[in-house]
Amino acid sequence: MGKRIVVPFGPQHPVLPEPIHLDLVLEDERVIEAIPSIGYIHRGLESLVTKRDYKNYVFVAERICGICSFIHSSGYCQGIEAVMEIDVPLRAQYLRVFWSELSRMHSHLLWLGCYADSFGFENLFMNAWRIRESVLDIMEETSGGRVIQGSCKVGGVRRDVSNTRLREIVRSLETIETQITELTEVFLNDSTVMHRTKGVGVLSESDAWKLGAAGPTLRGSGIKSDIRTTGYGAYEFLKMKPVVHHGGDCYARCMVRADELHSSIDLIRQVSDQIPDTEIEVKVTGGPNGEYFSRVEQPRGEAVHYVKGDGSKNLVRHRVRTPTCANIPPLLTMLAGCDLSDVPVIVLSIDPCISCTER
Amino acid sequence: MNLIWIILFLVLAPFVGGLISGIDRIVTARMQGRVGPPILQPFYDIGKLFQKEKLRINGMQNFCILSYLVLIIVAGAIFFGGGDLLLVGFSLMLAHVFLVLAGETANSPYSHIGAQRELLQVMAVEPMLILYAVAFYIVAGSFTVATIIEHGALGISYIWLLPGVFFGLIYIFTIKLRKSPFDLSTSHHGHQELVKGLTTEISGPTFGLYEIAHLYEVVILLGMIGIFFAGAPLLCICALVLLYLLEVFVDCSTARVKWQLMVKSSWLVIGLVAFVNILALSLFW
Amino acid sequence: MMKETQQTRVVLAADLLYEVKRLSDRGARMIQLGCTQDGEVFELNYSFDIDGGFENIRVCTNGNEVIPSVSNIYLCSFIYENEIHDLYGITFEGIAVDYKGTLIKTAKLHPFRMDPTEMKKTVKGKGKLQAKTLKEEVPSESVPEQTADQEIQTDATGEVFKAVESIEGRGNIETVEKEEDREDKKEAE
Repeated sequence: MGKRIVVPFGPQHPVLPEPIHLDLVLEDERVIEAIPSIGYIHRGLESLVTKRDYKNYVFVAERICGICSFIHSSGYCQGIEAVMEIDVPLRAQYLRVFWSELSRMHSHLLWLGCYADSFGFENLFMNAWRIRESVLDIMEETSGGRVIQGSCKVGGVRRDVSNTRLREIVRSLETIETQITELTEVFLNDSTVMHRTKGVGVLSESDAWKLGAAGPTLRGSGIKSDIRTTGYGAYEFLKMKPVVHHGGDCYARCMVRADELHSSIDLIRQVSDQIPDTEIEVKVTGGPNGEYFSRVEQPRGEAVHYVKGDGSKNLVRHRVRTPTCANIPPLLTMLAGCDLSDVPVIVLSIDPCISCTER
Repeated sequence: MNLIWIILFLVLAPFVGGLISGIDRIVTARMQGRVGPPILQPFYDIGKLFQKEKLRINGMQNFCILSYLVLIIVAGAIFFGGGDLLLVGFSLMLAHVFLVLAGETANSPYSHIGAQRELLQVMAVEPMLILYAVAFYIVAGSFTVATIIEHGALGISYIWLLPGVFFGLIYIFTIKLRKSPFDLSTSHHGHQELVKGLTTEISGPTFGLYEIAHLYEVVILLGMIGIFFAGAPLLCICALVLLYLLEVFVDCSTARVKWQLMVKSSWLVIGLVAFVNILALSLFW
Repeated sequence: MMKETQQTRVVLAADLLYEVKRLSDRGARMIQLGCTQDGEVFELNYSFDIDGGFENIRVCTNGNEVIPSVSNIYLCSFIYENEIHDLYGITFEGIAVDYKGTLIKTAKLHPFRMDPTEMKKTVKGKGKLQAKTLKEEVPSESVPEQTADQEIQTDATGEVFKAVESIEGRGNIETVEKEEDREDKKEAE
């Protein structure tokens, strides 16, 4: 029976992409339990809802997180539009899917880089982020922003992308797709990487269900659940299959995200083929009166935007339940009983986006 | 013992080690698609460290790091002065024990766990150093470096007689250099779960001393590999350059492994390859 | 645009466990548990997903009632219940993993729980707040308590403590203390 020590993991830690505090109770390099403590990056964004016009609040909603920013803004807009029964033009919905899928790609590439860094493979980290630069270049030229797009608004989108440009982008994505395949080959087949990720952080199917996991954490444990299949936005016209892998370990979650990169490229291809020529926005007047739970699929999982309005220009309440918040109970279960060297790999495998969790 | 060589080692080794470290960083950067720092960057870094405020955790830490440096220098002096290989091995081991003590005196859990991992690294490496000395005794008839080099110049080709031992030594070279896949206790980047592991709480001029000791150690290890090619100095330098580049390549293409794999694989290599080599030699030489 | 049909049923706190158990038997997945303050009423929304469809149960409480915890049925709810306890001050009974207020440590206890009279002022006085430019985030004259709240929530640096200390007349401001210090204080008293 060894002596127990408490190792503070975070909030400032070079391996963590965002500040979360975990007190790890260790016994000779084996973690007995992990006690979380959050609140380091709480900015009180939800309280700004009562002070900002609901149309201007989109800019605040975007800034909940820098990685999944577009999908936050589109989730919020979707909620307001559902409450006010606004019919968003089809072209705007397709463009929202276009930017959402680009967001998903850049988020997964960012994750691949940080994940490689967590097990000491800096070379992969550099390569993943280099590929990500090409995706960010596409986002910058179509919307003006690399990470915060500012192109979603209540009633549609702000900017248009011409059909010819969309076709060119799809062609450039083919080069990116080959690079992504080469990169993910290493993640999935290199022996030292497999040594660090196979069998690590196993989350069984029943645990994933009970503990309310979301996103690749849920799909890596064999549960087929992807909010895009409910057909919100333009997804009801697009063909997509949720990517599911059984295994429940970090390796399976990595496989899910690697396959989702390919699935995103396919969705962008479909958007370019099917996008209709309509308006990109409608005029919105009045204030939202009612409530709605808007559900969207973020790169990290299912996000819920709850909006409640009373008819005036300020909402009464905006609550965001982000996927990382839902993934914290599974994280704590996975950390119990693992080795200390597995801790960064497991923490990163749920793709922690603490700025989303804290708002 | 050859005094000139000792003085040359004492004075030139940090510069040689620093240049090697600088080239290492540029080659690593180019392999990752970056440009890399200037070649003299390690010197700028160490110089900067000595300008920093002296933040000591306690007096013991300073003493331990100083002992680490002194013992590494002693090991190098013995080696380059033509002395006993066994003494070199033990001096290196004692130096690392002091480094482990330096890690343990700090109050940080990262430092403690890094110190424990450093001990595991010593355990993985020491059998090889002893077998290395024994192998040369069997072939050259003496533990002293001077005699070994003499015999090498006279025509004994160590590399053909001791390939297994050579391979074993290269395997632990990765561990000693603190490169992936074996950069467990502390690594050149602070991106592991232990922040910077063993050296988390060492800062300022004390850390500068640690860095200089590491430079000395690199030169000693290159020397130890070099005497396999005694008698052919040009071949020796080419081999060392190729070997170092191989180490950088392995660093860039592997993830960090866990300590169980490091110790097991190291002992496996030592047991299967180096030990068998020595057994064969002792039966047929 | 396709809008999901979302039904919300209001249940009493006493029937909560029964309703949640019924949903669990039907194979529902718990999505979230959120809290909204509407004047004096706190609405707790329990959201569930059944085969892709959305169902919502709402419990209305006055903020001082003790609500039974559903973490025995849905273990994932412990994180939301701890969060709501730390931010709104609503007590849940029997949370499976209870961090006792240390999950989110803030300078002001229960920062999201607003005084009902202030809430009405905020919503009605929106015109005044909007008239100011974006640079002036804090309206100084009209709602001083609201100012304090906003300052605390938007400043994430050490200046939070300065803001808290400089405001007078607020009864329950506590400086940040560790759990052990709080207990030591209680022992000393």
